[in-house]
Amino acid sequence: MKKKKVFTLGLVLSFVFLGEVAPRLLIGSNIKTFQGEQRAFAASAWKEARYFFSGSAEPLFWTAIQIQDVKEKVDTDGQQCYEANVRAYTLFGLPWSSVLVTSCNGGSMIRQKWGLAPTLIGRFSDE
Amino acid sequence: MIWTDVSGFGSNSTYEHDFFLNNYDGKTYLSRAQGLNGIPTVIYWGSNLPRAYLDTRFGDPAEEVAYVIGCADGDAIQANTWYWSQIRTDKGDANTDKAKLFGQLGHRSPSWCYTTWCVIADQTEPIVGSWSNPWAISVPVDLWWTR
Repeated sequence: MKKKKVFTLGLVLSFVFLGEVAPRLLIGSNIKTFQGEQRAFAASAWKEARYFFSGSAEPLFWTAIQIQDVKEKVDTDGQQCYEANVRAYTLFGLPWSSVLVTSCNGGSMIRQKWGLAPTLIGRFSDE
Repeated sequence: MIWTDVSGFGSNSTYEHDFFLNNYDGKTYLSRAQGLNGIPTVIYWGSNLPRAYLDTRFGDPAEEVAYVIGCADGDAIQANTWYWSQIRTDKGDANTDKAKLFGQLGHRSPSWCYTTWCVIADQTEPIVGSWSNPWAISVPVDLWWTR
């Protein structure tokens, strides 16, 4: 009976450990898949997204952050700018949240409705 | 700080005045000391913002150091009313520094919790500078800004 309990506990701990560690190892930043200025923006967007998803209890929920895409845009005064979709993943690589990072018109970061976060921790614009 | 339009705040909304010092060179004008929970170790902090809190740096990378006071009850911010926030720390290890200032809208989750741990970011924008030139503030400085 005791052996069975230890086995079950070990199984549960291994399961959670894998869920926590596997995404950190397997989901890369994707920065190197971009070239030139797009890569520079991707690196900057990835770093800023880390700050965006931190500074609260939220870092307990995400395990990896990845740049999904980088698009070239032109802002209102005709200057070239960039927009990146950055995604955060949670245990087992499940989708957690997404933020749209843009350098257009001075720049901004806006959380998108994607992943489990809107359901679990809500979203301002849902009010 | 003074808002002329508060229509963007809802019943659950929060605001953070995100001031960062540049630590890419490993030095900052203000002390970087913090507790294990990421809350900055300060001499004093205060604010007349509704439900003010000293923000945690939990999960933040070390290259940019946050000195942030937030408002956990954005809905209580009144238009055309002056608000102040102050953080006093020990001296850091740099005589001059670069800084950036962002504004962040967010929400509380769960809505009955008013601490730094329950404030979730939804939107961030530079207040001084821009994305392409974020480190627009030379420290020390007295600075007036409008956004």
